Amino acid sequence: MFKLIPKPVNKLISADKSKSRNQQYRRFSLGLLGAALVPLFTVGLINCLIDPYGILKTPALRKFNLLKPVQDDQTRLIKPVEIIQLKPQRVFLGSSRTILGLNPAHGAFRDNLVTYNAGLTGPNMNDIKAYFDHALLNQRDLKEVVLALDFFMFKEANLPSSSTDNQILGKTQIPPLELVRLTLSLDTLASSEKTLQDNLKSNSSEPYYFYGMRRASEIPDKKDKIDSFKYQINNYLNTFYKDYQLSANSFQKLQEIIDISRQKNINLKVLVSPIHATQMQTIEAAGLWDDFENWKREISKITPFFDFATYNQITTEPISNTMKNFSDSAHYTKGVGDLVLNRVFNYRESEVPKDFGVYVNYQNIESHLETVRKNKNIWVKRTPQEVEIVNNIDQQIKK
Amino acid sequence: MFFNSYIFLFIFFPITLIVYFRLGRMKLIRLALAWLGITSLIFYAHANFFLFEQLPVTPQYIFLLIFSIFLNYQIGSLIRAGSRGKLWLWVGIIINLSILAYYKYTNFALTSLNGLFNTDWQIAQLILPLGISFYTFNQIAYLVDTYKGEVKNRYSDFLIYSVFVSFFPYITSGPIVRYNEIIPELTKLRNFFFSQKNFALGLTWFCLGLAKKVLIADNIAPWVTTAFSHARELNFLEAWVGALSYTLQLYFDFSGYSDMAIGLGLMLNIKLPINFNSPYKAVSISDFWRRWHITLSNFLRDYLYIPLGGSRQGEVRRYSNLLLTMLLGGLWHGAGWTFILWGILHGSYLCINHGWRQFKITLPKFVGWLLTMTAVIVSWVFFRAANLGDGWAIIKGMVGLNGIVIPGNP
Repeated sequence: MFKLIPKPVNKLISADKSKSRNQQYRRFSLGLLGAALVPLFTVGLINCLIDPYGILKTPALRKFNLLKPVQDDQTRLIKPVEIIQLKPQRVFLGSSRTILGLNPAHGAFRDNLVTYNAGLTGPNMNDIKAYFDHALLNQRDLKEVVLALDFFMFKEANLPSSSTDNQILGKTQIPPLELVRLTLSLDTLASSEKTLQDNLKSNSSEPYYFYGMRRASEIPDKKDKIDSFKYQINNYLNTFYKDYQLSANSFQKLQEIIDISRQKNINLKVLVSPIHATQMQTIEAAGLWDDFENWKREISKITPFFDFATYNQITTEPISNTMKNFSDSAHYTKGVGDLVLNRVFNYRESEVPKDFGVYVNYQNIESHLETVRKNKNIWVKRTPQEVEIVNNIDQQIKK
Repeated sequence: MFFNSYIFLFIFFPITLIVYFRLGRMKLIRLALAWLGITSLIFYAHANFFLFEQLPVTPQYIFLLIFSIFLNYQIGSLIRAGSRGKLWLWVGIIINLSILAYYKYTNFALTSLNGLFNTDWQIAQLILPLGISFYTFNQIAYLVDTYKGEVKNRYSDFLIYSVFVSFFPYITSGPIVRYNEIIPELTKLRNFFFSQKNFALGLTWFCLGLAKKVLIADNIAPWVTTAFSHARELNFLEAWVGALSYTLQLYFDFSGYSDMAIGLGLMLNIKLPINFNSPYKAVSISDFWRRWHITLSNFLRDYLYIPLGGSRQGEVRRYSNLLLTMLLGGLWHGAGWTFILWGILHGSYLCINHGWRQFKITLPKFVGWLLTMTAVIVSWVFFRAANLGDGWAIIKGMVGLNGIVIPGNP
């Protein structure tokens, strides 16, 4: 029976079987790879089309992907990328106050320098220095830096930079694998979904961000302004001003920025951001007024600066639903930001209230602090209801 | 790089695979082996530079691995060659364990001594070299097997040995492998040719492992982190959710990673031993240890429990050997009192298990499973807790001592 099929033919049949089995395995592998890769690349395609972070520069279409709401939570991802892409020659460094307040297209900038608002949410001085270095790395011919300082940035043991920063900060191009990771990620897909929903709901025809500055008009406001104030006061007492200590390292970082700017011939403008009088009262309630003064004192030893965190016409604006200068105790409006830049760049100075923005250096610091103290006492006496708001929140927290 | 990272999936592994089989097809077998060795070192080096952003880079540990390979290969040759085999075996074991102990336990020992004697002895914080626990055990097993004469002379080749130790699918997270299991795979000529069958099987293992890790374990992880970082505030339900979440996360993460390693090996025609066999179906604790981290339990059995005397020297020795083996097994997982307690717990469980057998009463399977799972979950709580206090707090929550709050109640 077996001899009916000669041996070579047997071998041929066996080879055929083996070939067909191999083909089956091959088909299976390809099918499995396809099943795994097709969803992955579909996610990538959707993310590329919607581009929720705005880093791929996919065309932005109204009712589709023009508005990018997730950018608010991703400033530390988007800003390093945009610095790489735009290579700005003028940069604003600071906190969310800077993001909301300082306009890169301000009238004082009549030159054609590319200006970028590199403000971050809740930065410390390590972050500020890292972004300064990043801007310099990507633009060797950096001409001007506006450095807006805040008291909370100098807190000891502030949080280090987020991990996303580390992938892009200090680089001159976006690492391709980081781009792949972002594009294929399910988190980005969730952001794409949010972006699409937001665009379908909104009628806005302008993107949320303009050269790093957030258009505040698109941020949904609390019904009562007083609630926004209470929220921020509570927030600062619970986080930034809790266990506050001035950090020597932060002053060191500031010194390094000053030194590098001198070395590289960068026109550096340093200022202390405006905050509402109730925010200064919050500092007082947290028992940090001496630290607040020492902070300014130490800065004045390193560099002259414009101090906007004083009691003046702008910062003592009474809290009301119709107020123009502040959206809450910590954040000033674009109008105030324009006045800040007017003062710093000597532009249309007549529009700026005389007591708004004091030029401070190591020579006049003590008299300046004395004046602020006096004005504080006057404000406390004149507006007991606003002082009470702060004190009530503070007492509730201490309970 | 992790197996689930894009750099591994889209760059490292495809290049490794293509070049390896290309060289095999050209019959450049030694070169193909060297390629596996080189890519394994690149994999290890990359991990030392980039794996954990919060840790400093540790290029020196690549040299530690190379030194370890070279040293153990030499000691293996000396064991094979001469009359002082036993002496060289002990020298090898002591050196390997000393290096492991230095990196893994120095900081823990100093902290414990400082706490005990109220002193302040300090050294710079040592970062644990990646995979040192695995490659140390692999090499100790090699030395013992060599001493026993189980390693064939024709396999004593430095290049093959280097690949055996550094092979990227298992260098960082296991499974623990034995020389005799791996070497025949690395020396069969047909294994240097691409196999559609093995690729399909390997790809399936890899995809299953990837799904276990990415789709299940990584999504459970936030629940675990939240629960264990608030260990002292958990009520009854929260404590159970935390403990069960970790039980699942650990299994899906670890077995997923092992499955990926097995899959990668298979795609390269190298069969690695399975490491998990549905451990949470175990109906007794000894059954659990036949299913959980199988390569580690085999190692502990063959190279620790049995050499200690196993069950051959009476019941008292058997129980003390079980306890000691599991205690050392706990310490192998990490330097900390929580790991020691985990080891003691499992040692005790095994003693109870063996003691119970004497009564010759078989529990219904469901009861056995329930008891086993409860014991395992309790042990995992300590395994994951930041310290013993946190572990106790969660256990107290699980038995209702922190109050029982029904969701929805004000």
